[in-house]
Amino acid sequence: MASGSKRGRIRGVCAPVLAAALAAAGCSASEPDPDVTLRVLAGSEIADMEPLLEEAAERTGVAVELEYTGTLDGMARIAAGDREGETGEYDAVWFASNRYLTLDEGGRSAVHVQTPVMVSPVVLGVAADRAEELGWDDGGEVTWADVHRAVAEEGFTYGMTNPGASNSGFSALIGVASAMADTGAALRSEDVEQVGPELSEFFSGQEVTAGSSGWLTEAFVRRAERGRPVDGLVNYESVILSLNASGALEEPLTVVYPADGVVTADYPLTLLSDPSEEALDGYERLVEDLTSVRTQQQIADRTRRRPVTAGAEPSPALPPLVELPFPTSREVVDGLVSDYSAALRRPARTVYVLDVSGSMEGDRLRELQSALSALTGTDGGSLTGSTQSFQEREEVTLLPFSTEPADPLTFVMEPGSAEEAGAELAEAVAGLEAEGDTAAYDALVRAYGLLEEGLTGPGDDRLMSVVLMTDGEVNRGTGLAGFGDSLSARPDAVAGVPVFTVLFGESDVPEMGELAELTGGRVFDAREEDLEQVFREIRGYQ
Amino acid sequence: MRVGSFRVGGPEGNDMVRRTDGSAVLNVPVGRFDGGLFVAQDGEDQPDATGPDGEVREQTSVESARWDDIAAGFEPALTVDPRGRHPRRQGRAGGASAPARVPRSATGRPPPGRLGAGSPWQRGSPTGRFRGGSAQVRGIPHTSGRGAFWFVVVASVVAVALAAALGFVVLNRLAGGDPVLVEGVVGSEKVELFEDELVVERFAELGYEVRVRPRGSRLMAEEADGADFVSPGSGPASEHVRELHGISTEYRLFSTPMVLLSYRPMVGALEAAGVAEQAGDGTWSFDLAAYLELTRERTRWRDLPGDAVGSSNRNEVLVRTTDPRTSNSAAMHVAVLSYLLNGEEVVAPGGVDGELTGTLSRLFLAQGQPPESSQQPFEQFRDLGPGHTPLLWAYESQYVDAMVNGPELDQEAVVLYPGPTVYAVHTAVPFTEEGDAVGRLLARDPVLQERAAAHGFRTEGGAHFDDLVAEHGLPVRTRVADVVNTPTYEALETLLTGIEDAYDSSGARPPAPEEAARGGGA
Repeated sequence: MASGSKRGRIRGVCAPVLAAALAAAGCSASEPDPDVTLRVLAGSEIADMEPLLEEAAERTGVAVELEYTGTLDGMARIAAGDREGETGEYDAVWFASNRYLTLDEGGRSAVHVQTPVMVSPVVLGVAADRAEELGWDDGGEVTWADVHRAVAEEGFTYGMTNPGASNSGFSALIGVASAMADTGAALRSEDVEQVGPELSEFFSGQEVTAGSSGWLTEAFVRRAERGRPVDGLVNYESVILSLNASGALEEPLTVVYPADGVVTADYPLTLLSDPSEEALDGYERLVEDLTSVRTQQQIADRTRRRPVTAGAEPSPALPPLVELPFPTSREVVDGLVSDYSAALRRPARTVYVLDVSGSMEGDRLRELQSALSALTGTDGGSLTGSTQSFQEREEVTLLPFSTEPADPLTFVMEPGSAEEAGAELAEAVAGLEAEGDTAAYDALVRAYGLLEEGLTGPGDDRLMSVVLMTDGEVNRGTGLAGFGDSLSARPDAVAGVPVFTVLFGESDVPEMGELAELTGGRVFDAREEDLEQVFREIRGYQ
Repeated sequence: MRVGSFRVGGPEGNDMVRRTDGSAVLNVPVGRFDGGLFVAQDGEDQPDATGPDGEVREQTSVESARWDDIAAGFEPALTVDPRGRHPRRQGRAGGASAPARVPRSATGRPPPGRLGAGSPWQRGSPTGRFRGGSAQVRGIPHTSGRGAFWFVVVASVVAVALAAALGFVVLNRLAGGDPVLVEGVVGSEKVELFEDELVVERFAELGYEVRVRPRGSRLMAEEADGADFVSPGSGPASEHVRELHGISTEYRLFSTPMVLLSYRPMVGALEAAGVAEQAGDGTWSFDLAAYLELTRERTRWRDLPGDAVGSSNRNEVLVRTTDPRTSNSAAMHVAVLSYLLNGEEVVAPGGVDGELTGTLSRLFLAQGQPPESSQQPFEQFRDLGPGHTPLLWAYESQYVDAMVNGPELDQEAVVLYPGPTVYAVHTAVPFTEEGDAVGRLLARDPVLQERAAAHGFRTEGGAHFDDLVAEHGLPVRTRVADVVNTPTYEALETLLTGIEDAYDSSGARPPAPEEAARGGGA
């Protein structure tokens, strides 16, 4: 052999292994312990894989520590090189799709290797009676254009997640825009501009929005239970099939596979660049287990996603699909999502009910002020950040309260002067002062009154919500029951408005939960997390 | 602690292991030794070897036996737990397979039939000869004798006992047996070959451990720091590596023609449209010029004649490729299309104009977001079916590899030979002496050539490939007639740069409304 040649690593590897053998002498080595832990930044869609991952960990010795985040948000972080997790750097990411991540060079170079683990297209579930009325129940061809027509002519309504916050809404937006453009090729910027009017009409049917696919499904079920049903649900095929199997609906939804094509999530488990030997080894072992026929069949049976390994079969058998081409350029995608938020979707109308009682004085009030002001800015250019800011056409009302509700201040983000309105809003927030008691329900009653007064007529289809931020027990005025009673006198459109409650300071946790349940809202916790992050997350639901 | 001793016999002419520098037990699967491996270095291997220079030298070698056979020979049998850490599982993802779940050997003596079954002795010497045969494994300590060698497990007994009891790897010094580590930068399509267990084993026999890292063909030359050799997948890429690094040596390893993969209903529609045609031998041709004609008219799948395709697929008839900015496979697509668009002439460096790059760019951009590697679209073709990927540009080797080694493609999948096509010629360009040795072995060693053929590549002479195709009854052409040359590196790079620029500027919103009006429809 040539002198100075590089030597193999056999000795180097075996020495520590021998040491381990000696250290382990006397121990039983029957079950391999979870000897590798992968830290994974994941989309909330992955949460239903946790039981399967625990079982896989028993087989492989590879434990997975999942930390959840919004898909686009998480991808923007990774593409920018930010891998800092709660317990160390992320080894891997696992989102419904890597498409947005790999649109730019930063994202592409952050990936060491990716392995699609399962597949689910974003499709449309339709209430059985509506499907029958529309002639969509006989397996005939239904296109996104047909759905558009149903919205325009038959008053068809649906729920879909916010594309800036959740991958299912994002995929649907890309799919619908591509289908409407109908060029047969990947969407270009000029196509987006051209189909704007059609898209705007299509999204006028979107009556429910959400920051996550899971909550969207809950909201859909709740609306059906409470006699205010929405006709359709744009979501993953797997979510709709699971909902049908759960029996939560009286009649299962008819699954409509748009014939012009879908955008499919392929859930790639993605090892980030420059992995440690340990992470690489753990990744390989885990992927091998997850793509084995046995695990794939379990994925198909339990999550109703389509398996990717031959030999595992979806249950029941699922139809083949046409995949729409995904845009080539990040600018096209960002432009489309921005257009959606600022111009295509129904505008939002929100009352922020803000506790400025005495207990808020000092740091708490300052945190609230800075969190709200942040929503008026144009956050450093990230797509998620910009969709979380107050958007053109949006109406924002501030209703501070303590012993009693203060005078509300309403800001309308008129196109062209939205920046000024945002600045005024920030100024008003800066002027808040804290003193007095906590009469939160009196303030809520007032908030719903404001929503009712502000209705512009039967055609007002703005998506309304209330955000309640309070840092302590309600100690003054009406209680929860009194507030509940007040709703019955409201018109349907207002009575069904959800309250998103924010836990802060010494919030009454059970009662805030009841309030969210009563109104079909959701509880957000800002006791551990940054209030600004919580406000941003809520933006996905407005 | 003394567990026992054992002797391994080799009656068919194996000589004794003498002057050993060490022995070792690996309790994890190694190649065909799926129940672990016992190896001993033989410091004096007979007979002496005659080198290529005619000089006679004393040889050393490494002898090996199935560890589970040896363990089973003990009374009571030693327990083998092959689930320990695998020393080779450190490569790229999707590499070596998991440790096989070999059951612990039963206590007590194994049935007599097991002894001597199979071929416990394997032998690898530097000259690559295989000898040995059906040696016996005996559980009874034995004295040495001619035609046999033995080990008394005394000093190293503690280590061996630990290995047996705990299932961990114990390795003594293998002086002189350390493989030479050789690092290569290779196209991603060849990673699987380099991680093939038999290839790893063969290199180990030859005294090398070859580690590779995948790189896209366009950046291979620039990102080869520290490598001993580079193995690109095309003539132009190889040319660039040699020029950039001032190296004249190039080993031609094997090649594979570019093909198209589709599904039967699509092929039927393409046949009716005059694009696909079946030859007398059952193989399919794909007329690329007729395809370009379809793309000029922005033909959709549903526009094709016949109703086999169904009316639902509104996507344009477009060949799905990898990313032309990084990938060799897509560059090969550029090579053939540019030939046709250039009046059936290989594009010369000065002959690239805006019209040519404009037409080519659209054929890539219209496909949408490109895949990250040549493996990704192939897997999507295989797993997600014709609605996802109706028509794929691929290496023939990918198809053959899948059909021979699995996971197989759907029965409806069809391979078509584009006319014209190009050959992706895989080479090795050595940067160091060790890289040179590995390059030469890849090109000339019969075992390595056979492994390349087993992965679907066409090797020198083509006999391996022809046999494989015949054995598996694959509808591939052993002789591909309509082949064009790839452009020079400079010409191809000019084309690819033009396409890259089109990607970069594709997101800009059009400046004027008149521009926008030209948009959709077509």
